Amino acid sequence: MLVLKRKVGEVVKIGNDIEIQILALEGDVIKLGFNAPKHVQIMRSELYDAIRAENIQAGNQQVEQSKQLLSLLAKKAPKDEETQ
Amino acid sequence: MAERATQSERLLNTAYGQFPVSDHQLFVFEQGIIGLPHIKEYALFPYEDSELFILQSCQDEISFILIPAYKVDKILNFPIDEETVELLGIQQPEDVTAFLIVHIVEDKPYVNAKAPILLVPSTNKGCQYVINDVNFAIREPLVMKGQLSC
Repeated sequence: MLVLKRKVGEVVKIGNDIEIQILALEGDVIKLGFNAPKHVQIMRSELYDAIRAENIQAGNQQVEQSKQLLSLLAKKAPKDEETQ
Repeated sequence: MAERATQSERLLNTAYGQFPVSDHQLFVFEQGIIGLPHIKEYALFPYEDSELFILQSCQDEISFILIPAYKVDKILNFPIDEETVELLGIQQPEDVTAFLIVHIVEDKPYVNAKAPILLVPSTNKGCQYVINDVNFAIREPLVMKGQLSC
């Protein structure tokens, strides 16, 4: 891992278009500012890991696996335009 | 409503069978879905005669069960940041439809309210949007509008 020392207000650059600025030090909390292209998602790693885990489980299942879900579907109100 | 011309219809193999897909069903996820950055293209299918949709990866087995957010019994009103508006080419709020990923755990359906799937039919773009609000959970029991909770 690359280790750099920075002061408040200073910036670290990653590649050509990602910037991380040290905005403030508040006790043991560091406030960071990010500048990155729109396609780069920036979030806390705990959140990323939690969403990732949920996505991977959810992306490998099918509707038929849940009787509960099917029973929810069965309660669907009929659409007016479908009755002829 | 007239069907849009489907000049480049192709067949897609899914866990639900083989379906023809036309261009208007295809959505490009430039960022991918979180944890699956390699999948950039998905096809959207209605699931039989239900409120559900299937978002099927065009390149592998991954598929998501989606429910339109407005069908879910919870006021899902959240702002979309400027970066996402630009990324998806959203011109007006009506351009974008929010879906929630349905996840079945021990035979009970849950939705990911924290990270909905946004789809923009006018640009055929989509993304998974993370709502910056602690009131939205990654796993919430699915309760549909007008339905008593189980």
